[in-house]
Amino acid sequence: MINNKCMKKWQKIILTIISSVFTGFVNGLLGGGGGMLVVPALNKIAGLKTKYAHANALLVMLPLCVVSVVAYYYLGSFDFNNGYYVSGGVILGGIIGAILLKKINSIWLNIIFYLIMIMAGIKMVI
Amino acid sequence: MIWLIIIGILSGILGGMGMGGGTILIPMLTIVLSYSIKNAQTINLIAFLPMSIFALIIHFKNKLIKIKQTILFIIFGIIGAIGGAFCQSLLDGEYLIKIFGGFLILLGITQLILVFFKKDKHKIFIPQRKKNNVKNY
Repeated sequence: MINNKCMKKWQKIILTIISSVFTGFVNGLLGGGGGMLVVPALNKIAGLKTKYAHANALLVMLPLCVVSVVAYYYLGSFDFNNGYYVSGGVILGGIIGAILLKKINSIWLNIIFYLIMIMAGIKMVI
Repeated sequence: MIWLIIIGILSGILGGMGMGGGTILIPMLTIVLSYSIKNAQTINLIAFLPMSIFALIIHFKNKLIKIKQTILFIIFGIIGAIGGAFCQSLLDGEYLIKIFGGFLILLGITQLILVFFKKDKHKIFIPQRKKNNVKNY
């Protein structure tokens, strides 16, 4: 779509600003999901390969999540009820997922995951 | 309590595989356990912090991190995050759920389209055989 090498420097900077403000806004508004936006942005605009884009997406998302949480706290929508159990599960699952990552052919998993996502979305809208 | 841990593990697995665990943790907490969306959002943002710190350390060691290319994303992302959090505090939970649902549908459909229209689709569907063939020749 956008060829990284043909892009002028100012175009790159403007696209970076637009996409990063949008990512931050979505992540702050919805409390997540910014990572799925920043990976393609890093890939197409910053010109990082997929592997690098995934790694650096974490570097972008970490400060954004911290800022969002701090902002929630000061704006009064911070609510960490029952969060400790979920967090413990997430850490455990994260380790399992990192190990599984190398073993599973992920294309079918991806398709199932996106279908579940769409169904969950429909459930939430209705 | 058991369900909280199971939901955490499931989304942690997806997060660890790099598929956006957060986008599935929030709908599970709100639909399955009928938590308020603001509670789910806070839990999601905090629950993925330790995992991403841990993963970042590994990426740093593997020299995958390019600070020069990402610094602009971080600075302007923070500005957007403050604006997003401000809007989040103004909106009611029922609207936030609908916006989140719409976001999930859009994201799911675009990702599915991307999967099906990838140029090297065959390579993805039968990666093992292809790789072996290349090596043999």
